[in-house]
Order: sequence, then C-alpha cells, then structure tokens
Amino acid sequence: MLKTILRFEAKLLRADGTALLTAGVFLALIGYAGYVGIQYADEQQAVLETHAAQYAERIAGIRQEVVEMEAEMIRKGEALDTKVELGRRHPYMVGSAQGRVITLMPGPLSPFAVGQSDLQPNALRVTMGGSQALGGAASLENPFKLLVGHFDLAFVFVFLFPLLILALTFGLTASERETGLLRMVLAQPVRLTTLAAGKVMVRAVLLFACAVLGTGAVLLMTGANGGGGRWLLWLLVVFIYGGFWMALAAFVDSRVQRPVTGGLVLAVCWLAFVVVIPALINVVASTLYPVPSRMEYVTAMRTETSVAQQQGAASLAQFFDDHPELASVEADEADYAMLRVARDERIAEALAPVEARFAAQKARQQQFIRSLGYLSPAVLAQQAFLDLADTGHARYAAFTATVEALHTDWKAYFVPKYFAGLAFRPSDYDAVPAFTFSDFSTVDVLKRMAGPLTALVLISALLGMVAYRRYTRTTLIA
Amino acid sequence: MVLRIARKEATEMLRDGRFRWAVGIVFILLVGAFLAGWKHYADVETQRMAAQEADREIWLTQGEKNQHSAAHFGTYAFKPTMPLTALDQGVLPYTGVSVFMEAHSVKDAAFRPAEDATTVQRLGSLTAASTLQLLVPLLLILLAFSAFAGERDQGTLRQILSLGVPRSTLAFGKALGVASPLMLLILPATVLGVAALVLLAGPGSPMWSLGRAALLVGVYVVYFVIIIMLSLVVSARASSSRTALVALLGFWLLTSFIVPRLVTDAAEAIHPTPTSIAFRDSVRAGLTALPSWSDRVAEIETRLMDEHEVESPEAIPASVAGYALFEAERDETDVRRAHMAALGHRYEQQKTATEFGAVLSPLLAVQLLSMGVAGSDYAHHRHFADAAEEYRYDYVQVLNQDMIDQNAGWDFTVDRAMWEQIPPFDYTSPTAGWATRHYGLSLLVLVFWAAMLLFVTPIAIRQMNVA
Repeated sequence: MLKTILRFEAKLLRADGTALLTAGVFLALIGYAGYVGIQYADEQQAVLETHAAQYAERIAGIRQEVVEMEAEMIRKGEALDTKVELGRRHPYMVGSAQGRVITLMPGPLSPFAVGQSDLQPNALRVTMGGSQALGGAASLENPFKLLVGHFDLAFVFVFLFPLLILALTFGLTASERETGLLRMVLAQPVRLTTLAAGKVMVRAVLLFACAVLGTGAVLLMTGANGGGGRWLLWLLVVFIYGGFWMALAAFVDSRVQRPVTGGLVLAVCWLAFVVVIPALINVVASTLYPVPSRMEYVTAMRTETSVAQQQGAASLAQFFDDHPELASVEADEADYAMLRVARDERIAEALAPVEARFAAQKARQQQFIRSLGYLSPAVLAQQAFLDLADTGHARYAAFTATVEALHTDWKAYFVPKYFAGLAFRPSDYDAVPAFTFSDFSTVDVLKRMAGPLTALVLISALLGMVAYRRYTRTTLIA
Repeated sequence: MVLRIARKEATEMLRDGRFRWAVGIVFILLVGAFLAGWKHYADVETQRMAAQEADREIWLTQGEKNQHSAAHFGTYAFKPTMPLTALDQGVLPYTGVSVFMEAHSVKDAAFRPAEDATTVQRLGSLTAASTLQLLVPLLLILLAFSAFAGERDQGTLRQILSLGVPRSTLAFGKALGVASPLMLLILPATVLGVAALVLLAGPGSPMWSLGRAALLVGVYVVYFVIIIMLSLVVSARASSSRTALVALLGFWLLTSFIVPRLVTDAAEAIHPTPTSIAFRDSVRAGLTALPSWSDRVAEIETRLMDEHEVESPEAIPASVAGYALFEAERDETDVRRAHMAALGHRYEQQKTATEFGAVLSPLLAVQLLSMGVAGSDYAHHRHFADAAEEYRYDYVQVLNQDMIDQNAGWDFTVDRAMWEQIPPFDYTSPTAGWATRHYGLSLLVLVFWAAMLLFVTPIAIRQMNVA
C-alpha cells in the first residue's frame, strides 16, 4: 500500500507546481552558495600559498647569501664556526627576524562553510617573541559584511533548508482534512499513518535528492580533493537535521485541524530554533562568561614591556637564574638578541596569567554553548557543518595549540644558539623545528559530531512516535 | 469613527491570548537584550577608561630615552563607545578596539572582539536593535495580515462597508488598531531605555546625545509604519488571509535574511575589497618609490652642509637624524595614509551600493541608520581611527622636531619633561548631524518606501475586492 501512496503522492507533487518550484529554488540556492564558497576558498588558498611561497623564497635567499659569505670566508682562510655579530650569519636572523611562516590550508570541504575562517588567522609568523597573524584572504573584509554573514552552503542548510521543508510539508494531512478529502482517502484500505509516512517520504526523497545533486556538483567543481568522506558526513547531517524538521512538521500536522494553524506553528518553531534561541544562547554566554576586552590585555602587555625594557640587566640576570644550563653572560657583554630573549621571557611570564584568564573564559563560553546548543537543532547543525568544513572552533583551537607547541620548540632550539653566539650555518637551516599540523580525520570529526547528532535523531524519533500515536488515534468524525 | 474602529481592533487583539504571549516574549527579549547590551557597554567603557589612563602613566614613566625610541615605544588609543551602542552593537564586534600609535606606521585598530567569541555569534546576536529589526516587524505582520483579508474570508467586510464607513477611515482605524497594542510594547521599552540611559550614562558621558536617541526612535517608527502599511496593502489585495500571510512572511524572510547577504555580495563584487597581500604590496610599492634612508640622509647632509657652509658631514652643527626622521615620517605617512584612505573609500563605496540595495529591503536602510545613529557603524570607527592617526603623526613629529631643535643625535636622551609636553589622546566623537549626513541615502530610501506606500495604500484600499 505504501508503494501506491508513494506513487500517487509523487504524481500529485509533480502536478502541483510547488514541489518543482521548491526543488528549483533549493538547487538555485545551493548553486549560488556553492559559487560564493568556491570563490572565497580559492582566494583564501591563493593568499595562503603566496604567504608560504614568499617566505620560502626569502629564507632561500638569505641562506644563499650565507653560503656565498662562507665561500668568501673560506677563500680568505677565515674560520666559519666563530662568534658572530648580529647580521646575516647570526641565528637571530632566522630565529627572530624571519621566524617561520605557517599557514593553515583550507580543508577539502572549506567552500561549503566560511565559518570562522574570515575572522581567525590562517597565516602566522612564529618568532622567538611569539606569533603574529599575517593577513589572510578576508582580513580586510568590510566589517558590515562580516556582520551580515556569508551566503554559503552552511547558511542555506541551517537557515533556508528547514523553510523549504516546512513549505512542502505543512498541512501534510491537515489540508485534506480541511477539504474533507481525507475521509474519502481513508475509506480505502489505508491507514492514516501509512498515508502520512508516504507523504513525508516522497517529500524527503525530493529534497534530499536536490541536496545530494547540488552539493555533489559543488564538490566536483572544487576538485573533490579527498573531501568525499566529509561530503558523505555533510549529507548525513543534512539528513538528520532535515529529518528533525520533517518529524516536527508531522508532529504539528497530527495535532492541528487547519493547515494555516500548522503553518503558523511551524513558522514560529523555525523562528525560535533558528533565529531566537541561537541569539539568546550567544548573549547569555557572553553575559555570564564575558571575555574581558583586549584593552586590559594591551595594558598588561605594555606595563610588562616597559618594566622589562627599563630593567634590561635585571631581566637578564633573572633569565640566567631560570636557565642554569646556559653559560652566564655579563650585562655589558650581552648583545641585543640575548637581551631580547630575556625580555620576551619576562613579558611572557607576566602575561601568562592574563592569557590564561582569556583562555579559561573562552573555554567556559564554548562549554556553555556545547551544552545549551542542544536547545536548538540549528546550533547543532551549524557546529557540525563548520566542523566538516574545517572552519569551526575545534580546528582553530587545535591549530593554536600546535602553533604554541612550535613556539616552544623554536625557543628551545634558538635560545642556546643566541647565547652561544655562534654563526648560523647553511646546514642549520634544515635543522630548525618543523611545523606539522595533523588535520582532523573524517573519523575524528564524526566522533565529535556523534553526541549532538544522536541527540537530534532521538528527538526526531520521539516527535515521530508521538505523531504516529496521534495519527493512529485520529477520529475524522468530530 | 477611526478611534472606534481602532478600539475594536485593539480590544480584539488584547483579548487574544496568543497575542499577549507574543508581545510578552518580545518585550522580555527586548528588555533582556538591552540590559545585556548595557552591561557589556558599561564593562567595556570601564575597561577603556582604566586602560587609557594606565597607558598615559606608562607613557609618562617610560624613563629617559632618545626621542625616536619613545616614538617607537609608542602609545595606545582605546576606542570609546557610545551609550546607545547598548541598543545596537552594529559592527563593533568586527572592528578593533585599540590603535597602537608609533613612528612609521599607520594602522587600523587591532583586537576585534569577535575573534574571542564563539561560532554561535555568526548565527546572529540578540540586541535590542535586532529585536526591533526582526521580531517587532514579524509581530506587526501577524497582527495586520488579516485586517481586510480575514474580514473578507468571514464575509464581514461587505457588512462593514454597507454601514457606509469610508474605506479610508476603515484602513486608518485598522492601522491605528494594529499600532496601539504595540505601543504597549514600545512605549514602556522606550521610557525604560531613555531613563536608563539618562540615569546611568549621565549627561556628562562622552558621547551621549538625546538628539541621537530621538533620531533612533524616529527611524524605527518610520520602519514600523512601513511594515503596517505594507501589511494592509497585501491584506487588501490578497485573495485570502492565508495568501496574505504567506506573502508577508515571504517578504519578511527575504528582506531580513536573503537580500542583505545578496546585496553585500553584490556591493563587494562591484567594488572588490583588496586582499591583504595586494594591499600590503601596494603600500610597499609606494614606500619603495620614496628615497631610501641612505639617499635621504646624503641629500640632507648636502643641504645642511650648504646651509651651514661646512665642508664635511661631521662638521654639520645640526641634527641630521632629526631632519631625516622628520622628513621620512612626513613622506611615509603620506603614502600610508593614502592607502588607508583608499581602503576606507572602498568601504564607503560598498556602503553606498548597500544603501541602494535598501530599495529591495527597507531593513537594510534601517540597519545602517540604526548603527550609524547609535555610533556603532564603520564610519564612527573610521572617525576614531583617523583621530588616532592625526594624534600619532603630530606627536611623532613633535619628538622629531625636538631632535632638530635640540640638535640631537641617536644617543641624545630626554626625560619626563618631554613626555609631558605631549598632550594625552583626547577624542571627541562626531555629532548626531555628522552621523545622519553619512546615511543620507539610507534616509532617502526609507522615505521613498514610506512615500511609495502612502501613495499605494489608498489605491489598494479603494480597489479592494469586497468579496
């Protein structure tokens, strides 16, 4: 019987313009969002590649100069492994002046969601003193654009996809109940639940097919480089999130007499879940756990820098106390590089508690949102989409941690070199700490999403079950 | 008669439990968002004042050093915010809060608060402004969509008109009926908000103006009137109340979520923002075109040798370094400012394009005007950054001039007396008039919407089908 209903519903939908219109609108939205996303990701990729290439070229140039200087010295019969002044051959050149430029390349599904990639630094220079952000593709983006948001696939699926579902499914059986057609249909040997299930399934297949085709085409246009697994997971999220809205539509349909009422209730649900609750969670999180303004941070940094500068000698003495492994140097013999290291360490130590306060407050906000996100399927879906596109919180947090690890390695490698004051030889260029960022695998992402997605499935199942019971008990003759 | 109709409509709505719930929720959201916004504003202002004061102290107690070292030691300008930003945060989360002002560098403010926020922020932020821009219009639509269409569905429209009530009176009464229950929401909120602002911010608060508050109220009132008129037009023309509702909700959705993104995309496509690399390269190219440091020094030495009629650079009785620094700062600043101005101009072009886009969505005009009047838009940010840049250039040149005056070399040092000669950074925010002039086009578009509807509404009502 279900088969017959499916066939009939498909015919009805084909005859009725709305289904085709909805599918067309959906594909057009996906197409435009895909175009926007691909353009954005391409630009970002190009900027990051330029940063990396320019850095490699600069380092190779300096190394070449050093090779030539050494050749000249050998010709003159001078020793190479001697103490050097600040300049091309001093380790300061690589350790502090150039540092290492690292880039966080966009993931395979990055054209799907801009996420935080227009705010968080994707290119950094790590030096002895710390890390500074280099301009990314969007670092000059008009702030108003950042406020309004991008028209990317995440926007289409989080905001608009539920509306398309609601447009197709509101008044699922209520419109036939209103017109009285339902009595005639149910006079046939068919149960109301089967009928409702059939109606939902046909609509689900139509919309899901559009999602598969549309996003699949976008993926192919990006070259798909290894994004297949993530794409499948994206579709899984679409399926589960869409499933929630279909279950909700069925739930509402099973309880209303008139399709208009159902439509209104669903519109209010959309407003609450997609617009109001996320905004509310955001404002509650930032009011309960306010991250202090960076002004406070700037002042702390300034105070410490000023103190450290004025007490250069004392900072150096303190530094040697903390690092007994290094041969002590008198203040008047210390060069700029050594003083700088001592100063930076002192500043970093003083700033550590301030940094920690920022990090702790941000972590609390994140935790709060992770727990309260369950109040809104839109928040869960958004987090999952960003995670899959590698533009979400988790990846930037992991990147920051890796950058900090590199900074530690960098200091461990260069501090002894600065204090030994020996020349930085061409072969040393290959020995500097490398940056390796191991991206999350698709399985990692799946593990992170598992909790929220399961919750969403359970909620949908619950709604579906309640709707089922309600349908089975519906009496048509009031 | 108008009042009687309005009273009937209002009573009907007030008796409707769903309406009471909706107004209650929106009221709570409005007040809650305002309180959260206020707390945020007050926190940030306190931190800013402390930071600005602390930075002045750091500047004064920096110790004895060369003037140019002090110019690199630099000083910070922290961006003040206006009390009205408690209502509308605008682009504040996406613009930096502090400018580091040092020699040879023209910078925009750094540390955008959004960088420290969570991803949920990108789904939208709840502020009093977003409540007024998104939820109140929705409420108005839900109240007004059935004004005529509902009566027609029930067959009462024919009855009413048979009593001889002029259609215009009926329309006016209906509009008033929709607006008056809403006053229950808006009036207490406005009174509460203004009272809070006056009591808490005080008239002495840096950038507080009642004029701006009045302007803000005006903008929202015009917007609500537009929504009410539009709802009446659609209700008069739609075949059924269901069609009217779908059309109005579609309008709300399009103008709130889709058009703003499309318009800003289009603005960006017409006037593309340079990538950071392109921007950096063009600044570098401009700087490379200037004389190199050694050429500049050589040229100054020749000039000073002629002026003082001496034979060798060593014999010059003037500060070559001072002159070189002064002139280099002047030339470099010209180049850097020109590029920053070009970028600012590009944003300005994008803003103008967006304002034109408001023809498709009155919300865009309201959004721009609201943040402009509240002082949380990019123009105010730019105004601050420009003031900081003026201050930076002036103080760096005072230090360079001092090197010239004192015939100072690189190892010459000065002390606190010199640091005190540099006045603290004192920023005066632009006036309400300045803010409004900046959004003349938005104002025009908003007025255009209102005028168009004022013209269309009577026609739609005249031609309305009775059954």
